[in-house]
This record gives sequence, structure tokens and C-alpha cells, in this order.
Amino acid sequence: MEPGTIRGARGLVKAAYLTAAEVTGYVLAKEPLTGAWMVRATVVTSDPYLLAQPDLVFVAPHKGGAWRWALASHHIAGAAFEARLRSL
Amino acid sequence: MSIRVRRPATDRLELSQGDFLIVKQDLTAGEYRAFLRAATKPIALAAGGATPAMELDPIAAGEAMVLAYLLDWSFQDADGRPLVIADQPPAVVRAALDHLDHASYMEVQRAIQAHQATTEAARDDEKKTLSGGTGPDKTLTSAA
Repeated sequence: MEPGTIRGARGLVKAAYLTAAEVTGYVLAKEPLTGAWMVRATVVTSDPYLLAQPDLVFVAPHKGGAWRWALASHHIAGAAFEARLRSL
Repeated sequence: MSIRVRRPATDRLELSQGDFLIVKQDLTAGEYRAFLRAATKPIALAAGGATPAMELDPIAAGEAMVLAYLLDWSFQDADGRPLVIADQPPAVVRAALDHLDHASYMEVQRAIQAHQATTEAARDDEKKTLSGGTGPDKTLTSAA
């Protein structure tokens, strides 16, 4: 794994407490050119209405809680999920 | 035109010993249908019954309501570590509920049932206010 890369089995895209999408096999990495954090994953479930809402948050649950980032933008193509993140 | 989608909001329910629950203020239509599916069971009708029927499963209904509303809590495990349920899959939340002592589980269920009843009553009041009352229009009688 490259330095600064985070991998996880299960992630969530949340609109407040509602789950806009559940993803699996996510990889969080910093883009070398822009320095922006990106997440890429495979979509398991998604809710088109909630994904169109503002203020979405990417949640990466772990044993003691969860890490959270705001979604600056996101894109879903088939089962492929990609989002640009920013800190909350 | 009227707004028919609520912004997701949460409530904090205080429990004994300084504990609390974080619950959804309302369920969406989809969440309500999921709750009904989890709270009912098919019943056998006499032979020749035209349509299958469902009835409320009193055991499943309590747990279904808890799972529908519960988002987070302040509970800890036997070693004093946070019992994490926020953003966990339903199976993890269900397992955490199953491992509570019985009295604690019932306190959670009663708190959420009371919350649901209070919220429903408040929504009914809202509807009455917005529609200007539920009674039939009064017809004025002529004094002549």
C-alpha cells in the first residue's frame, strides 16, 4: 500500500443520518497533482434521491467509531463510485 | 404546493444512569415500510382463503421499531469500551441489542415506543393546524 493510502471494506455516503450509498472495497488516496483526497469504491446500494442532496459525507466506520469527510463532488458510473473529499 | 419531504432530524432520549439514545425524529415512507415488513408475519388462513394475510408479530414488532429509529447510544460493553452502533450494518446493531441485559433492552424499547407515540401525536396536531381543523364545515342556518 502506498503511503497516505487508506483502504477499507465498507464505507457509507450519508445525507445527515440517512444512507445515500453503501460502498465496498474503498481506497482513499491523495492525488499527486492537486493534493486533493479522492475515494474510489464499488457501489453496493445507492439512493438516487439522497445522492442528489447537498452536504453529503463519506463515512468510513472502524472498530472504535468512524472517520468522516465531506464530499466536494462525486460521480457514479455503473458500480464505480468516485468522490473528491474535503475535511469536515 | 406543499413540502412532503422532511429534513432528517434526530432526537436525544434520556435514559436512567445518565445514558441516552440518539434516534430518528421521523421515519421516511421507505423506512416505515421496512419497519412494517419486519414487524409482521404471514398468517395461515383456512383453505380456500382468497388472499394471504399478515398480522403484527408482537415479539418482532418491538425490535423492528428499535432498529427503525435507533442511530446511536452512550452504552458501553462489559469492559467499559463504547458499544459502537452508529453507522454499523443492521446485523451489528441487532447483535449489540441482543447482548444487552434484558432490563436495559426493555428500557430502550419503551423509550423508543414513547418517542414514536409522541412524534405521531405531534404530526397529527400539525396536520390539524395546516388543514384548519378536522371537523366538517359548519353550515350556518338562516335566522329567517
